[in-house]
Amino acid sequence: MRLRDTLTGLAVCLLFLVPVSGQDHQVSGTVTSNETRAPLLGVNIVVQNTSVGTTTDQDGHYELDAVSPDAVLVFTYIGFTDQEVAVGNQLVIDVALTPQALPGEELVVVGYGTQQRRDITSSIFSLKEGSFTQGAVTDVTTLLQARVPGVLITLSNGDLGAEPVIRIRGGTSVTAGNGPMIVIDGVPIDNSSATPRIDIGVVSGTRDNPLSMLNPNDIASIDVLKDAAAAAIYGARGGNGVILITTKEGRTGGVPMTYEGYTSYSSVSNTIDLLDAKGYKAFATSPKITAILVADTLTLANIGTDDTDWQDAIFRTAVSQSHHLSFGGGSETSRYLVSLSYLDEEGIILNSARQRFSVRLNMNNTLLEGKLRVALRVNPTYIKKNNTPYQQAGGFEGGLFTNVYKLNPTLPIYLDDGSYYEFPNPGIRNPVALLNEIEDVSNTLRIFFNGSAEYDIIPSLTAKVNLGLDRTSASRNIYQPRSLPYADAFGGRADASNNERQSTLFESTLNYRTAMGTSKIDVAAGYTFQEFENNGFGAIAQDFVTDSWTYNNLAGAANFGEKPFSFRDRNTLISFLGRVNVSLADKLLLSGVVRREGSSRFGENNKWGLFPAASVGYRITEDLKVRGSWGVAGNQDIGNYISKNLLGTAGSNAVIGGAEITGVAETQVPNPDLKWEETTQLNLGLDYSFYRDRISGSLDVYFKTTADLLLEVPVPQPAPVGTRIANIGEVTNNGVEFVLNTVNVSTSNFFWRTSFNFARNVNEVVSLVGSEDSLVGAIFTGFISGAGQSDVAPQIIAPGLPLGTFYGWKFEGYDANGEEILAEANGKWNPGESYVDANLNGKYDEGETFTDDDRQVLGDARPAFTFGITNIINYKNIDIQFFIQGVQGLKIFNNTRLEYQRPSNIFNGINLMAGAVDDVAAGLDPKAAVAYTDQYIEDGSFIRLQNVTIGYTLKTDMVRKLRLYLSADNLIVLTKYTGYDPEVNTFTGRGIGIDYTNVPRARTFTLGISIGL
Amino acid sequence: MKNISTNPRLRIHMPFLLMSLLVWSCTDLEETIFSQSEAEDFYATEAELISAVMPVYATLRGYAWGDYMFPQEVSSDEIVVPTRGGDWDDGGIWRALQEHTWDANLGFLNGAWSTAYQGISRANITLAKLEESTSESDLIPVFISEVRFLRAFYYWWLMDLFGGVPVVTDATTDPNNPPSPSTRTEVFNFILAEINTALLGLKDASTLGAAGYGRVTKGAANAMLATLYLNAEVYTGITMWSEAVTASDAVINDGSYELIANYPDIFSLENEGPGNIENIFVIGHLAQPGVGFPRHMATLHYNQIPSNPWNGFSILADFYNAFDSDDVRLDQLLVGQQFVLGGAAAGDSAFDRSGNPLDFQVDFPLFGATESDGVRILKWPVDPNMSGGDAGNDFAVFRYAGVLLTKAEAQFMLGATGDALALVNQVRERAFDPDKPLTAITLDDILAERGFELFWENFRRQDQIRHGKFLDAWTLKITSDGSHRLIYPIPQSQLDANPNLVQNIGY
Repeated sequence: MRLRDTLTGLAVCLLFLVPVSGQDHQVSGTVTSNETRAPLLGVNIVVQNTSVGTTTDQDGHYELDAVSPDAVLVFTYIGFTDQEVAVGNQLVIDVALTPQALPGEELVVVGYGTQQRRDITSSIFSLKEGSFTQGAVTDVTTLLQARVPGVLITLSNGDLGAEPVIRIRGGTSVTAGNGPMIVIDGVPIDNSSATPRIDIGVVSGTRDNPLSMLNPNDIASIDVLKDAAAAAIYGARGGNGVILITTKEGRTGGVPMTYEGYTSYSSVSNTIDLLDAKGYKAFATSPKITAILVADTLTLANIGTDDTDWQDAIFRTAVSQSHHLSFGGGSETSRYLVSLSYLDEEGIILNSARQRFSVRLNMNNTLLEGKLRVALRVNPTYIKKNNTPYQQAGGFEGGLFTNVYKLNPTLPIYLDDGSYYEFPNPGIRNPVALLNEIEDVSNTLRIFFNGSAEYDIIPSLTAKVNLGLDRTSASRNIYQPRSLPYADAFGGRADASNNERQSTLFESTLNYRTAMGTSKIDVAAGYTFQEFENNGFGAIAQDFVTDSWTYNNLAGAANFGEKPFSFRDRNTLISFLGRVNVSLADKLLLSGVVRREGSSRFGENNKWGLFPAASVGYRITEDLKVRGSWGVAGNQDIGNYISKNLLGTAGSNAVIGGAEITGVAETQVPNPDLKWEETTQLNLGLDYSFYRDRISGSLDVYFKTTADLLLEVPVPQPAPVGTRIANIGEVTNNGVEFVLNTVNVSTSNFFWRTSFNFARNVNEVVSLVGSEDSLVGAIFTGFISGAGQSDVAPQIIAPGLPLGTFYGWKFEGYDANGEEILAEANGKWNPGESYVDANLNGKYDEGETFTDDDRQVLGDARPAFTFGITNIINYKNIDIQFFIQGVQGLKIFNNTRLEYQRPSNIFNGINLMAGAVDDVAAGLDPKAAVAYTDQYIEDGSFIRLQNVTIGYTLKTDMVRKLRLYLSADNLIVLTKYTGYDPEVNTFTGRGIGIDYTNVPRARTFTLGISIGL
Repeated sequence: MKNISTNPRLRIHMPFLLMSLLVWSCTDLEETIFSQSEAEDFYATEAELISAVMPVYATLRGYAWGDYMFPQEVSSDEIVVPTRGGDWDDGGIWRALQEHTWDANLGFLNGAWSTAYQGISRANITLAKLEESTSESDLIPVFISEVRFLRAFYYWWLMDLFGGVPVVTDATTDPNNPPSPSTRTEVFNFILAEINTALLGLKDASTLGAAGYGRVTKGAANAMLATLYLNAEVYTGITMWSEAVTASDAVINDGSYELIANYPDIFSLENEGPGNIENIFVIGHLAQPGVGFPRHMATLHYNQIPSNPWNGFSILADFYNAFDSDDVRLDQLLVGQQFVLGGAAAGDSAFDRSGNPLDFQVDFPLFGATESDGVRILKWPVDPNMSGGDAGNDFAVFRYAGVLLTKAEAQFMLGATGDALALVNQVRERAFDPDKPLTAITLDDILAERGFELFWENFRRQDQIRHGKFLDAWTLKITSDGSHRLIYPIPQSQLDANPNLVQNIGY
């Protein structure tokens, strides 16, 4: 009975889909903004499911001939919500479009499909083009920064295209990757930098942002899947959240051509307070220093007569330009969008530069009366980059910035004969010479290729095949010339290497949609196969007779002591997925997802994982929806082949008979049980929208537990190596996220809206190898850079503490000898005895040393909360936008200060931070060693006025649109942090929030224009 | 019936159905490996089997430098790493060794443990493969003996540092069923038995020839036995002096070994090879990444060679002062005004980082030393081909002079002081011109002579323990806090990994 009713209903529904013919007639009207009431120019109007359409003129007016009364007109305009109007008998259809940042009916990309915002039951944040960050945006990640609550993006430093750290709802893993999965137009990408990383002394292992290969101008929307119910559709890779990027497509009768261009001027936003020549000489001749020099019969030999600001010597005002031209349009059956883009970017450090060329072709074809839809996307991008020789971390040699800090200000940049001044100790190098003489160039070509075909087998059942190819070829070539004294010692050195990364994707999905009255059902099922391959090659040559060949003639060298290398690896992911979305009476929304996914990386006993999720939403009123979700997602972001018993040559060659003989040994301890990390997340949320969308937003609370951590754990010996990766331990992230959008003023010529987002995440390591309440199994991680800091780990990973916890000594003052007194620890994290009571008298005496057991928790590098505020104001032709980012309640270890505020540096003839003078005045013995203490753990909270943009739109008949704007990036930073910038991350093992010799951030002013023809 | 190819609907349906359904069956997740091998595909040819022996040798480089050398030398009255301003503070790890305040978290100890067991693991795997090989090659039984010797050597390394440790000879260790420790005596007996077995299959140095220089010989096994017997009382509580004499005599009477006339020639780069008849067991190095000898980097001043060394390891003042000023072996210690030792500026005066002449000082504090404090060691000459920190100097584990001194000490303990005196004077003769023989001998003289002859060759801690001096106070150290310091604690991360291990008493 019930079944028959359902079938009848279904048949009735299908009947409605049969077109009923009527009399075609002309339709005209005016399109305005429902906020400003101003007419909108260039609005696309398309007859739904056809390619027939037009655009509005200067007055917002449009005309369409021969429109069927059954037709539905779709009005689309960038930055506004699409609107559909059934034609019927209407001859005049006037439409007022709503700005898009307000929650509405816009489509949200959910992975293997789209859903209307109002039907979403999980935690997904959508960012549309109109809400993107303004200014000189060169990387996609900048678009997202501080826009999405719960997504923390930390730019590692100010280097061009530096790899950011992206965390969605905290970090989940200790050993495996913590970065989100990135999907571009439905194709999951390999989000690792292809640029070969080479760590050879001064030359850095630069970490490029792989998303730099995507032109931000090409992006239409970014959707972030935050909870496990949303991410479970991506199975073993969804555990750290998913970022879905959708590129722009052509529209019928769309914008024929747009041009976006700017010129920007960047300069360093902050410098470090180093002693100048006068201050240096004063300190060198101060009584305490003089007394030591006399006592030790020393003189300071390297004091000159110059006055050099070494920071000033390496910084410059950088001028960059960007040009982006796009054409779009199409006929009834095919639409296209072509974009051409050129970015020529200078860095604020001498000789650092980046150029990017990118082309995009997005084509959509409709065949067989709209039943078959094929799409093709091709996007080659080429980047050439002059790398800056900054080594982020390491011993006391270091790269560019260690030398900037070390060379004292009394020394010159150049000698009288124009040659570079070089310090007698070859460990200290003229930074200007390093920048001018070292050649370090990387070339990267990435091609995204994506083709899909979608076919309606019956109107409600659609099959889709999606093929993707993503290939990056990168090379890096470095030459350290003989003209640098340190490199002359080995006759110059050339490094040449390349790396190719490729992923191929095959997906096939079936989608069934139907509606019964106010209820809807949407079912999807699919199969996906994706393979990633990575290979590379490199060679090194030393001892050249001339610098003129640089890295272009390796055979011209005499020394090939370093061997050439090559490598290749591959991994595969296969999955089956299914999803059901049900909307009952437009009130109750239900969704269920399951993905069964296998990864070649997992051990043979655990190849396949099951990732289910369910969510429910209830629309209490049209303005208020509550939702709850639960789901499981995985993380497989570890290296390839880790579960296997492999033989290799690393460290296994022996010297026998005076020759190196190849040795082959087991290189890892196999783990056939290896599997994914499993993140289970419960999310409760509500979406609200009151007073005709004048106030809208969402609130989310989540509880996220990551179990079976991929943890590097010690193995019982004997074993080929000391550790292996096993699934042990648990981490939780619980938090709350809040979004509030308000339209503050909305009159005919004045419009002002504000978006505010807030997030708080609490991270805790629940368990590791050992037991709680002891240091057994605790992981001491990160490392401290600088002289005399080996074997001191600044951070601890232990149960009960958040990831990124600083662990060290507390500074209490100086003793009479001028040595540091450290606090004696007591409490949970400091179980044992305290200082080494050398004379066993039971109390601390001068000169006694503190031990590891005196270390204690010194705070952590995770923010207590973050927020972002955007204001958009339109007044007549003027638009103003400003954007503020806040990150509060976190600690940063200023490793740079620990190393360069050390007063004893004066005895080596090297420069000091001005704070050293104060430390000596406070009682520190200028000769004393300086320990890692809470003195160098600083408050890293900041509020940044990230962007201010003022635009003016010219009314002219010459072009459809002409807007000029002036923009300032990184204008003001409010912080107590004493380093260059509190938004920083030096990659040191698993340490986070450590700052050592990083490239400072720029402040950028941009003058831009956009033209629409 | 309609032709499929002309039915437009089917023409579209077919590829979709085929692609959608056929490919769904592909569920192969086998990993394809390109740059490495899997064990089941290896160990077939003779070349592959030999390549499996090399890693067992490769781990020996960890004896010449690093996590074995630090606990054996820096804890003794011979070598110290003072904190110089901020340099070499390193969280106090060097002071912990020198002052005997280490605990189970000291990183070096885990390194020493892991490296030795890596050698053992490699030996166990290789032995299993060699033994199951069907190769007819004559090399196989010889390599089996060499690998057994090396495995015993690594057990000696562990037993000497940590006492009783697990003895495992299986190729794999189940992480869920980890091994239990043996007593120190059991480990000692295992080592003795293994070396005696290996001796039966090992070759003479002359048989192996130049191409085999660096491989284990009969002489190496006998020198190893002599060293074990010499320390038997420390290891087991039972003296084995006469066995030490017998094993030493096996080396002395082997006919392959003699003292080289000039002390510096033992260590010279030109003398590397079978012609160096003083060396009994050598760890080979080349001036290439991964196989280099880094000790120059450890001790020389930043400005002394182009590789920019680290200016760390120094000789303690009392150890230096104990030398006779006529002793040629003093020439291997750098003190006073210094010169550049390598590169284009070799021979020029060296300067410190402040620009003052570099002048190495004998007396210095453990904490707050300057960059020019401390006598340095130049036992192995600077390799002109040094690449970065990698020098090509070979390191002799056992030398003929060491065997003579071992026999001298054993003879002394057996009451044959005359023999002991003669043997010590045989070694001293080379060190003095004119000769300065001892006329009478004490046990302290023998310990001192071992110091003069064998400094920085990884014996000092052993020697001090055997002579009961290791816990004493010396220049930069007060009396140790207990006899538990005679062995090191089991590293904490090893205790974490293997619950069957038991921490040594006192830690």
